[in-house]
Amino acid sequence: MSAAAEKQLLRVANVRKYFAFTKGILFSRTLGHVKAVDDISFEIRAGETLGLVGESGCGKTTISRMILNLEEPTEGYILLDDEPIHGLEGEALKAYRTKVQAVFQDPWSSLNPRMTAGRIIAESLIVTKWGDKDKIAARVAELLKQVGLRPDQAQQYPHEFSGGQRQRVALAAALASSPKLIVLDEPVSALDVSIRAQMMNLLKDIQAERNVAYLLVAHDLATVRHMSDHTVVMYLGKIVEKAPTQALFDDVRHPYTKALFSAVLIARANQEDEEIVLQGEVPSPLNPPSGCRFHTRCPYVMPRCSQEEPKLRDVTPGHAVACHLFD
Amino acid sequence: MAVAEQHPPAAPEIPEPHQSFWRSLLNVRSSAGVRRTARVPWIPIVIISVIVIMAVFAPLLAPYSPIDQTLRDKLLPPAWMEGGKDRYLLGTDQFGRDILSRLIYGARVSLLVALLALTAGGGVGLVIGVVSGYVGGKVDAVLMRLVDAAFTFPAILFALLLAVTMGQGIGTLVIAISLLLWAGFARVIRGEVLALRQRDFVQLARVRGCSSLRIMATHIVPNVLNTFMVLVTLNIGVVIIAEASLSFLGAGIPPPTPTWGLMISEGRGRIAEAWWVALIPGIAITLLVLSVNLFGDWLRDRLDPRLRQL
Repeated sequence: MSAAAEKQLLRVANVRKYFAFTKGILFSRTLGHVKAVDDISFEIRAGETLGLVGESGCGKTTISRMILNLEEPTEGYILLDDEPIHGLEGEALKAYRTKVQAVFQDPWSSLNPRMTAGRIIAESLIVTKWGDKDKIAARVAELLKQVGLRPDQAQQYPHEFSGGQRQRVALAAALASSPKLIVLDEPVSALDVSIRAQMMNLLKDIQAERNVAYLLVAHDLATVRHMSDHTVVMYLGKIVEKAPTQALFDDVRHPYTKALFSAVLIARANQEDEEIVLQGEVPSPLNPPSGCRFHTRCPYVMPRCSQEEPKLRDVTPGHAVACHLFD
Repeated sequence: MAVAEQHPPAAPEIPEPHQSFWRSLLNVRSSAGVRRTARVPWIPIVIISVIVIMAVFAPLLAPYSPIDQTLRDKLLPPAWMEGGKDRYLLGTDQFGRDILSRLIYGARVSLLVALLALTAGGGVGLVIGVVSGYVGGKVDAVLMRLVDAAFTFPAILFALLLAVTMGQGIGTLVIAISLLLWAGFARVIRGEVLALRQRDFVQLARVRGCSSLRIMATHIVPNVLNTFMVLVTLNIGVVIIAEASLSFLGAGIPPPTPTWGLMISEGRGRIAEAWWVALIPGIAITLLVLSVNLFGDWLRDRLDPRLRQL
C-alpha cells in the first residue's frame, strides 16, 4: 500500500445495497429490488471531512447506515483501519461502536425524552463499562463544557433545551467514546439559520482538537463547502462526481452537479456557467434508467448515454466524474 | 416530566368556550372542536378514594360481620324507608345480613381482583407488546396472530371452564380475567413501540452499543409507561365488571364471601319486593366504574404530551 493509502481511516469499496421488495411475512416472495446504493467507493482520511451530497432518495442515508453498522451491504465491503466492519459480533462489535458514532438531523427525535442530558451523554460509557459513576460524571461534565453547555445542565431533560442546545447534547453524546469517525447526517439543517454557523464552527473546532473524521451527509451545498475537505456527489445510488471540495466548487464538471449548483445561489469564482434547471422527477430506484442513470433528465444527453454506463474516472488528478462528456 | 414530540407549536389562543356542567364533567370535546386539557376530576377521585379506604379498612368500618346471619331481621329496607331500622343503614338481605357491611367487604374482593388481574394481564401484555413491536418480523407476526386468537376467545365461557376444572376462588378469577386483558394491552403497546422504534434515539442507542434487551428496557419501556398507565386505569372498570359478572354467574368467589357481583346475583330473585338487595351493589359498581373511567380519561389527556403546556 502506498503512503497515502495508509492514512485512510475508512474505506468504502464497491459497496452495493439492494433492498428486496417482498410480499407476505411468513411465506414471503421477492417482487424486485430497490438499488439504493450501487457500486460506491470512497475513502475518508483520519481527521478530515468528507461531504456526501445528493437529493433525497439518492442513497446517502443508506451509506451512512451501513457505515454505522446498522445495515449490511449486499456486496462490497467497508474497512475501518483496514479491518472489515461487517460480520463483527460481541466484543468486536462493541469496540467498533466506540470508534464510529453519529449525530442525526432532528434534535427533537434523537434524544430520549425520558432521560436527562447527562444520562444520554453517558450512554456509550455505561454500555462499555468505561468507569465508575464519579468518573463518568466527570467525563460528562467535561463533554458538556466542550460543546458549549454548562456542566449543571446534565440534570436537565431534553425538552428543557432549545434546538441548538439539543444538537450540542447529541454531539456530546457522540463524542463520549472518543470516536475516530462521526457520521453527521444533516447536522445543521433542522436548526435555525442563525445558529447553523455556530454549530458548524463548533464541529470544526472539535475536529481540530481531537483529529476526528466526519462523514457529512447533506443536501445543502453551503454547509458542505464550509465543512468538508472532499466532496462526493451522488445521484440515484451512484457517485457522479468526486473531488476535493475546493476543486469541485471551482470547476463543476458533471451536468447533475451543475444542476445542483444552479438550484442554490452560491458565490463562486467563475460564475459564467450556464444555468441548468432539471425537469421531471427522480426516476424510481426500483427500476433505474439504463446506461447513465441521469440521462432522462440531462440537458446534454447523447445517444450512447442510454446504452452505456459511464465509468467514474479522473478528469484532472483527484477530480473524478462519471459522464460521457469527458471521455 | 414532559415529552416534546416535535417543535412545540406556538400555542394558539384558544377561546374559553362555554361549557355546561355536564360537558365539563364528562370531559367531552368543547363546542369549538378543540380538545382542552380537562380540569382535575375531583368527584371521581373522591369516590375512588372512599371505596379504596373502605376496602383497606373494612374490618374497622363495617358495623357488622358480612357473613353472620340474623334471620329475624331479614329483608329490612334501608333506614330512611318505612319499616327500616336505624341499625341497618342500607337494609338487610334475605339472610338478615347487613348490606352496608357486605358492600364494604365486597369492595375488598373487587379491588384485590382488579389489582392482581391488571398486574398479571397488563404485565404480560406489556412484555409481549414491547417484544413484538421492537423485534418485528416473524416474531411479531406470530405474536400478533396469538393476540387475534385471544380476541376471538369467549372469555366468560373460558372462565366458567376454569371454575369447573380448578375450582372457584380468587386465583381462578385472576387467571380468567388476565386472559381477557393481555391481548388488548399487547396490541396497543405494540403500536406505540412501532412508532418509537423509528425514532432516532432508538437508532442511536444501537450506534452507542446498546443490546436489544437494553434498548427495550431503558429506551422503549419508559416511553410507553404513559400509555400503559392509561390502559391500566381504563381497564379497571372492565375488570370490576368481569369480576361481578363471573361472581354473578357463579364462576367467581364462592358464597358466603361478599362480592358485589354475588350480591346482585342473590338479590335479583326478589327485586320486586326488596329492590335494595340488588340495586345498592349495582349502584356501587356503576359509581366505581364510572369514576375510574373518568379518571382514566383525564389521565390520558394529562399524559398526552401534545396536550400539555411545556
